[in-house]
Amino acid sequence: MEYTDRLIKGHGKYVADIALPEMLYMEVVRSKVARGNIVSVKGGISASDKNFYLGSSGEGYGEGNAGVKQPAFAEKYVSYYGQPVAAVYSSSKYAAKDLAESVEIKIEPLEPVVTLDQALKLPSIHPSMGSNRASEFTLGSEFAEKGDISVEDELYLERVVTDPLETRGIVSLYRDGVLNVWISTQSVYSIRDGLSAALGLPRDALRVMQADTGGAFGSKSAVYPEYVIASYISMKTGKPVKWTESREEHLMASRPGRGALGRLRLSATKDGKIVGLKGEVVVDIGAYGDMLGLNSPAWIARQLTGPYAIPNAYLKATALYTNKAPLGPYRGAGRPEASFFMERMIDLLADKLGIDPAELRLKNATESTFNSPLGLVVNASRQFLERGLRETGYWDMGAGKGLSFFVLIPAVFGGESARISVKDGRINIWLGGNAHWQRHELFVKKIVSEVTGVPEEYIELNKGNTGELGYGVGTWGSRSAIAAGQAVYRAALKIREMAEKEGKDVLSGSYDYSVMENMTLDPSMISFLLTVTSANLNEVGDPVIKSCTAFYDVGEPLSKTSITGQITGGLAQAVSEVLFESQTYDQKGKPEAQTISEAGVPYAHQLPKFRVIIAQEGKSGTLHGAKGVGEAGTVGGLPSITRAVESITGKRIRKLPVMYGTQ
Amino acid sequence: MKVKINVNGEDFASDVEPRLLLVDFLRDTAGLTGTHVGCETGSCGSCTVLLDGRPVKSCLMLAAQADGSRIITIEGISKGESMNRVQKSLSESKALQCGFCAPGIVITASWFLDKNENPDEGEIREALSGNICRCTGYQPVVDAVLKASKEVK
Amino acid sequence: MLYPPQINYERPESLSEALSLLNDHPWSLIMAGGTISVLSLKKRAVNAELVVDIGRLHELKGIDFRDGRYRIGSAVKIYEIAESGFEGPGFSLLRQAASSVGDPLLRNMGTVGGNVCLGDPSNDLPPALLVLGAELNVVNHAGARNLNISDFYKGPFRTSLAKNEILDSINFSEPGKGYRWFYYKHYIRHLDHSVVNVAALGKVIGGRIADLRIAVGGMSVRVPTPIETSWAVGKHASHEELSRIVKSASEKCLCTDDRQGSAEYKKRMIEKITQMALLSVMGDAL
Ligand SMILES: Cc1cc2nc3c(=O)[nH]c(=O)nc-3n(C[C@H](O)[C@H](O)[C@H](O)COP(=O)(O)OP(=O)(O)OC[C@H]3O[C@@H](n4cnc5c(N)ncnc54)[C@H](O)[C@@H]3O)c2cc1C
Ligand code: FES
Ligand code: FES
Repeated sequence: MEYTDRLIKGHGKYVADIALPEMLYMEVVRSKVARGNIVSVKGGISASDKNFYLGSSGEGYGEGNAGVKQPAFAEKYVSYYGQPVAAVYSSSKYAAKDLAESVEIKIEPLEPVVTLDQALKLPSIHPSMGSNRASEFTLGSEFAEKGDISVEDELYLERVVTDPLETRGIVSLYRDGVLNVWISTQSVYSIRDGLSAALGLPRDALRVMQADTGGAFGSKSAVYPEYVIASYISMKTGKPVKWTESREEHLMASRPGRGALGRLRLSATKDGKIVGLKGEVVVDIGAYGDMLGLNSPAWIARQLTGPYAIPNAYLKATALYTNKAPLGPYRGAGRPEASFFMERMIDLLADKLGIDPAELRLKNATESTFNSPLGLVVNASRQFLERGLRETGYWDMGAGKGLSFFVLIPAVFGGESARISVKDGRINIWLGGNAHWQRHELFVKKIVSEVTGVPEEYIELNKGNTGELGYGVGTWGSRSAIAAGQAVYRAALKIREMAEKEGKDVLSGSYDYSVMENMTLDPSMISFLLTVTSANLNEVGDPVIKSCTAFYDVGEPLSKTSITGQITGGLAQAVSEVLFESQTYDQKGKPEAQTISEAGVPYAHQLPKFRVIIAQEGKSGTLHGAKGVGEAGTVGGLPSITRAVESITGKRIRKLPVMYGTQ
Repeated sequence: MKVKINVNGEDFASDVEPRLLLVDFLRDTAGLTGTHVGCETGSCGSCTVLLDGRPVKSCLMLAAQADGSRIITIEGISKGESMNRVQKSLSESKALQCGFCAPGIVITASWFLDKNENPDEGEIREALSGNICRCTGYQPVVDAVLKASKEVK
Repeated sequence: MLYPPQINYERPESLSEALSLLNDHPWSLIMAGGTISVLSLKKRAVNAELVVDIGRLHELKGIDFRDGRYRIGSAVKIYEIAESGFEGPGFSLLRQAASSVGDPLLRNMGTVGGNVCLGDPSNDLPPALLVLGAELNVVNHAGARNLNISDFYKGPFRTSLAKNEILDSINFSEPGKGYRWFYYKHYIRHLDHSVVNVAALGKVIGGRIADLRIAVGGMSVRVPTPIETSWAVGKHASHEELSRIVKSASEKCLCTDDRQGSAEYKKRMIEKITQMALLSVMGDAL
């Protein structure tokens, strides 16, 4: 049976579908101002009853937590519109909503810090901090600018909410000393470790099980206040507690991505050789900073030279607190920011020099392994670009074309785990990286089948479950094919070896093997992305994307269906980030998009036909040779689509989404 | 208040609060959780069901409004283990990713193909303009529906 | 999640029963298709003591064409207009507007009456009905009144309906032979409010403008608004007349910079689409 048949028949089991006896339904009461002092809270559970503090978890987690930790319930003051202040519960979901409406919260509003300029000028949003500078880095080293010509510009990407079709949700059940959690997530391990830290429970007192997960795009990796509160209520009542996020809540209080500013300056010789890059990257990380937020500006800056051999670079990178929902990862998480910033600058330089943008890129593409001054190591890219320009038909395209050429750096940090169990003539697999669903089963079954010789119909990939596999990382950062693929490959080799030792056919035995595969990034894992877009104008003169072609290096293609689906999905999100999508905030810091249509999520009739050319350019140095792909579409698509729109409208684009009339 | 709604050929008579949404009647009262809630504001089509033969968004209706009507949900669009041509085509081409959109898209697309013999890609995209799929970029889904349109019913 | 508050709900069997319910309960919410009324209940944006469901009232159903005049019951679904086979230019204009409403599923749910009575500036039917000169037949427990749709809209989401009144039907004459029509809706984000909708109907005889009606809706104008064109009637359908009309349409723009685009952009869109409308209805005369 095809993996999605269950879902196609309507038999999926998402968090909202879980029914347990005595279920309680939780609703969260939220701040209706972006900043203010809490005067009183009447009704529900709130900070005065009990509070918890959230550390770093999910994508970009790491050692320590230098920022201000987010409390589960706002304490003394609120820092963003939609921040949880109180929670209520009832055995009926409608009644819980009524209860939520009856909670009275009095807040004395304060002037919020909404823009980056305000963040720099105004005192800190947190009394415990001296300023709104959450982190500051410098990358590369200062150099004297040479070259004949320079261009500079300021570029900005608005915030974007991830908007998976299924919103966030959790069911917590504390029973017999164990907190059982069913959740829509990218990583049961992030949830377990994050909840354990916040609630002060030992890890082995938690069992986290992934429910069917209806998309995530970054927003379902970390622990959120609501998860902690729902778990706490279950610990208090001993009953299962369900919380499902409304779309309105998702738009105001989940963790959106982007919100990044680049002020860059390129210097070049008059024949187009780029000799220097200077400037700064500033990221709006919202009201609280975990490792993802604090590190994001430096992560963006580090990638800026991309596939180009730029000998000198010096960048400042700053994260700023504002009164907005905390920043999270959105498909690409720092990668599309870098590609957008750099590629916009290269287009600007090409226009100034009067050189075709493709020629300029060819001139600067790396010709051998290159150690960038910012700490990035990339292989030779020029040949790939040459081939791609030919195969995509770039040279023959007419007016309104756009091109981008960049790198995709997978987040292999931490490696990944896998478990294979053979029993009763079937193979069951668990991965540390939880699919949600990128169709991991397509490549996982293929790898295991090829290594063990067992036909795919006997192999099953299971959802994430900390009870079945005790350690792991998660699915994000285009890491699954590489890291999870490697882990499952290793485990499959081991299973084969075990069977060989017993002189048995794999399926007739009974084996169980788990592995944690460590990994470090090497340049063979970095893929090159060439994206070519064509735009025209509709009858009223607005830009429309006609076609978009991806020529992406995927290493050894594990599953063409899964690769193509990942790329078209990413490109669609790129088109809409250019033309429609954003979350913006009014002067008071109130989120302006309140429905999924207002946020600009695109529909079928608004998108072009995508063409995916799977370009195999060498293999990664993993066991199976695959490279990452999950975020390729947004990284490659954003600058290419932007350029196509710019070419057809004739107006320089500095900010996404385009502001109609000013683009 | 008392309502009686025929869901997938079976009568469900129940005493409900007048404020009960149709989608919650289907999910909680009738226990059919294949109908999803994605946006709650009529934008995404995750909650699509056939009401007296036409697809509607069940998050924007009260169960009371559907009293006496006949509803088909994803669980009733094809019998037992079988699949209709849209479902088969989505399955065979592995078009879906997370699948959360699938119930709504199957209902809308099946209804559309029943009325339209030989649709082109543009018409299919228009027909799906009330159903969001956030994962696929629509291309694989549109291709699968186009393929299904060529199959006999 | 969004759930409606506790409500009382009645589904009267007849129009007169509905009207007396409204009269007895001044704080009622009329619900037809429910797309917006259920949504506003879910958002807890309305406080209604009673919900009166008029969606099935047979008195409010049906599209009739008699003596050159249409009567469209207010509870007629949008799709019924979109799928109906009437062919005159007037009805074709209305059909195009109806086909532009939301998406196929919303068209199966929403009614003509709900679309007209909501007063949402970006709704599709009002500009079309304005150029058709539609008469609205409005009833209450004591009687009925007829008013022209041009007297109906008082502001964004404000109409001249009293709390105890129901829109019974919409009536208009088919303008007939020689008329040309135009309808265009412009939006950026699908199923979000539109930037501008333009409806037009016109007739040219011997190069002279015999009749010309244009109306503009959308967030850029805030209220569905007819454009004054009577001064052009009898004149030659020249590019000069055309640009004067485009200018008066763009003066209706209450444009500001926002998520829909810059003020300048919205003005440009009104001008552009009004121009498309004029080129289309003036046809070869230009
Ligand atoms: C996601 C979304 C997208 C939409 N897109 C569009 C669009 O593109 N174009 C468009 O035009 N509309 C759009 N709408 C708005 C709406 O769905 C339509 O206008 C629809 O026709 C409303 O009809 P209804 O019967 O559902 O209204 P209801 O919700 O039943 O009623 C709407 C309002 O009118 C009042 N009312 C209804 N009938 C009567 C009557 N006979 N007498 C007096 N008062 C009455 C109600 O009290 C209520 O205030 C959209 C709505 C949603 C949710
Ligand atoms: S949940 Fe009903 S349309 Fe989205
Ligand atoms: S497959 Fe995820 S929303 Fe369609």
